[in-house]
Amino acid sequence: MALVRTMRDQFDWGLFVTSCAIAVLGVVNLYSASSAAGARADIYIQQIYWLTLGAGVAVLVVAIDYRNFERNAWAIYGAGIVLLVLVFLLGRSIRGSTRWISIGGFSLQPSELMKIFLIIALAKYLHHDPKTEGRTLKDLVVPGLILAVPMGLILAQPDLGTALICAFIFGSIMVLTNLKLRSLVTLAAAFVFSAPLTWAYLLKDYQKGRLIAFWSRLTGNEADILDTGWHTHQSLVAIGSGGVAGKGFMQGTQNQFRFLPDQHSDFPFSVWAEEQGLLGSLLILGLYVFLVIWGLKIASQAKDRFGAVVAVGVSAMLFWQAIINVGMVCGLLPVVGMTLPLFSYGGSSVLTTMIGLGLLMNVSMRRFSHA
Amino acid sequence: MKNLTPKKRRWARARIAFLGTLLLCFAGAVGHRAYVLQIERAPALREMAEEQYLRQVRLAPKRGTIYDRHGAELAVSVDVDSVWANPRRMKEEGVDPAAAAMQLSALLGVDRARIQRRLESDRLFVWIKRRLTPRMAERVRALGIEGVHLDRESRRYYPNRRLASHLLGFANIDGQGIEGLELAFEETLRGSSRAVPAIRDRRGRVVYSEQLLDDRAAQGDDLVLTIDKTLQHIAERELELAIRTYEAQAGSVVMMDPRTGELLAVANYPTFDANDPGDSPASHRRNRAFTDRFEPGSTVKPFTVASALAQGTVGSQQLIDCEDGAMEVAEYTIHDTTPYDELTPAQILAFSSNIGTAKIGDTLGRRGLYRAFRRFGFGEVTGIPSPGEAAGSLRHHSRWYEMDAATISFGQGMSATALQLATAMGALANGGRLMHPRLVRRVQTHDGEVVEEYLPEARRQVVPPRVARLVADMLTAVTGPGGTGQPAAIDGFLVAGKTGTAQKADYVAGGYAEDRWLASFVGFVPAQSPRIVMAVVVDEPVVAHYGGTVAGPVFRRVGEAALRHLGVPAQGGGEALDRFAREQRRRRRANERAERLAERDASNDEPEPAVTLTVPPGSVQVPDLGGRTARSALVAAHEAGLAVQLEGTGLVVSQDPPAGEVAQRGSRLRVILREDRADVALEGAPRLAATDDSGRMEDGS
Repeated sequence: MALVRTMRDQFDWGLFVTSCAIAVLGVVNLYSASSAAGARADIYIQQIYWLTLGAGVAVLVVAIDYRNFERNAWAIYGAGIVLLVLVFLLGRSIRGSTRWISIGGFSLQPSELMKIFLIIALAKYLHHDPKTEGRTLKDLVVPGLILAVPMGLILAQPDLGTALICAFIFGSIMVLTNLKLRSLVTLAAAFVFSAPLTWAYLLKDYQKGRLIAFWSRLTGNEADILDTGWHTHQSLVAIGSGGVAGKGFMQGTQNQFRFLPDQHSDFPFSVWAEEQGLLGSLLILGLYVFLVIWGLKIASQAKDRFGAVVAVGVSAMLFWQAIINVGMVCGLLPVVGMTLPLFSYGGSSVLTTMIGLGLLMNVSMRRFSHA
Repeated sequence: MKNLTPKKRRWARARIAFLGTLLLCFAGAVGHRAYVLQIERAPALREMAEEQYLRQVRLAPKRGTIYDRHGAELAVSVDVDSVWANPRRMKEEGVDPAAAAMQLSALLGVDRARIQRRLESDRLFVWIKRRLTPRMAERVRALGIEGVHLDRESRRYYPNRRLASHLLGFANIDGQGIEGLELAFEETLRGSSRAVPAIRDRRGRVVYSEQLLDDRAAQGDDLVLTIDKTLQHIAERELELAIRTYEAQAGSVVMMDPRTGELLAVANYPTFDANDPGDSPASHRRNRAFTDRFEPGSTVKPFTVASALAQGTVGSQQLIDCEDGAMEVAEYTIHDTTPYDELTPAQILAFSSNIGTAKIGDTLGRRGLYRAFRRFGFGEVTGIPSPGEAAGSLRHHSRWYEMDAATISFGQGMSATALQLATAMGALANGGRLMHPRLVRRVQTHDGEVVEEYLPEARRQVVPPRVARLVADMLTAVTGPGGTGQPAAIDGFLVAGKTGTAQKADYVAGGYAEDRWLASFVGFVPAQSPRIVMAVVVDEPVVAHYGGTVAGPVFRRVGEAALRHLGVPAQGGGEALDRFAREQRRRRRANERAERLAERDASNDEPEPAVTLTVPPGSVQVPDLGGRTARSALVAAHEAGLAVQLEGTGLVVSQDPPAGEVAQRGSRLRVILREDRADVALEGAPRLAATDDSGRMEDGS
């Protein structure tokens, strides 16, 4: 009964409505994308199934007081690591990456779930390590390790996009914790020095190709458009040709005639922008910004440190994914595999986002309870 | 320490705000990027998108129809089947090219080896045969050979075959205009989008959009001409008849409505079938009326006279000394066929005096004469929408020799087209206003919506209306009794006009050819309120060569039919007849005076003009056949409405009843011919001005 009352009194309508709006527009957009010649026609139906399932999981997440997650944080984190290891043992390989494991007919992408588990783990650590003075590098060793283990596993799959998001989540959370300026500078320097090493040893050839394509576009040399820059080029053409008002629902030529690559997973924003124009683009961007600001508001009102860090982490996850995905399809950032939360097609992505939103709602609803 | 102290909470909030601001900056950057792409770079990117999915597909849109002024179809496009093959596909399907070639060859009548060679190629598309008959197409379809296809193609068809073929031109097998209006209006007829943008997907497959189903894109516009199919037919028929009768080489008829400049008929001979243009030599396909220039001769005299009257350098009643038939200019001598003493401008036109015209032209001065002719449209194209229109030549007056100044006034030393002559004469018919000749009334869509309308357009007022009417009046004398153009007279109407009999320039020997002539008549009817102006030109007639004799009857017959077709009431009675009679008396007096002074022909002259009026209905005046060949005699007799009984061979030495007698229409005329030409010359059967319509008074230049 307490739960029902809490639900009724504390329900966060802002969060709910914004999330629903994004999800509904996403399904509408996928309907158009899936009507493209030769595309799988049932993709938007699949997406509705996933959203429904995700909603169920989210309700479950909301129902459980988040302090229970705090208590079991290490177990959750450990389960995530186990799943990541399992990927290597019985994962299935798609396009050179091994990211998925099959569980009862579903394909699950543990790296997606790991983002949430990482947030919970970091929140747990910070919750129990309240420093009053500024943090130095030494204080970053433990959280750094918490990040490094899953990130290493994810990079090994390889899944650069998700690994990056983990790093960005980590960074965003660390900004919140009294990090000293000197430490920040040292971190930045380390990043700069590690870049050549990363290039030489960590990045795969196709990843390098994408970075080269990105660089040549930034420098105005579009000679290799047909090669690795093809995806971005097609995306730019689709978005730009939409103009202010767009070509209209189901009227996007680049979408309908399949010039756009990966319309469902990585480039749904291009489909949307082509058909709905600048107004549509700004609407979607606005919804994400609102959602993230709302998340940060939840963080600032959280009743404890764990809740605040979780809210910041989830907001950061949503934000960075959205900004990197849109930046990527707009040609601002190099192409990495990155979904647009709730908007992109994909079971694991939807599920992960829903869990994250569930956590936000959880923190938001329990900000006043002292039970 | 699980819960935060107020101070810590403030700090945490500050940091969250900082994070939020940072995030907003990033979001702003992405939003700005969207703005740049979708506003600033949108046009360029949209173009790129179109380049990708739009592909020019060559559709063969249905070519527009060409109609005459009343909506009769002159050129239409019909859909027919063409058969093509996809050899690569046949190979994949395991079709034996030899067997397929055998079957197709037997059916289509195309060489078997040639088909086989094509079927064995490694291409995706080869034509087997184009433009099949429906039955052939049905049989090919029945064969059902894998990889052999039938496609609908549009074929140009000219239902009236030879009718107006020179004007229409023709289109080739790909439906592209090659000649005539088909060429001049190629873009209009073939449709605005021959290459239609089609939509293709990433794999290059063409996905047709609704836009392609739009009729307008797949259908050319129609032309509605000013040509009247009936009049065109009559003009062509009569021109051909005259050319065959007088054994001429070629000829043209241009008929125009002088009030609007609309061409009602443009006939040429020789002609060709527009459905099979390849069957005729290029010379047969030429639209001579527009492209061939010739020395117009006497037909331009009215323009010289009108210009002088307009300038006031000559008075309408002024007597001009015609030097008794010979005038020295530089080291040359200009002759009149018949010597005259003094003539009024009207008489100069009626008797076609070269000397008189030269003197009138001289009053204008070289510059004045040059400008007068330019104002009538000589020396420049009329701008008719027809390929290859000739401008004719009219040298600038600064480059005239002394002789030119005199001869150009009566049409020698310059050249013009039949179209120019008709247009210039049209100005006199139209109160001095020169109209733009027009061939096309309007362009319309296939469902009749007007796209462009061509309205009557005046080029300039060449001479004042008063002068134009005066000259028109003078020109009626030409077709009156004793006039050179009498055969052009139409019963019940006053015809104004001028004959021309020009010796053709001999480009081999230089100077003028002795035996090659160009006979012409340019005139309009009814003279008081003209409805048609017509130029008739017959090139190198053999049997007779006078403009009046050869071209005059064509004018009369075509004119008669045209007036009937246009519903112009005859003006034979009342005031018109009175005027005609007055004109008649005046002309007779002039005639008599001229004849008294013309010693050489005095003995032969009889006051015949009056006789013409006394011929009762159903009767005809017997023509003078003396000295003619058998053929020419037949023609002349037929012309007069008499049957002929020929006796002997050679030239006509006598006839019964004699010339000038009144005989029953259709009655028999006995003609005796003899071989020896000298005898004929000596015996010289009496020549009668009234009936020798070859124009004794023709200038013969």
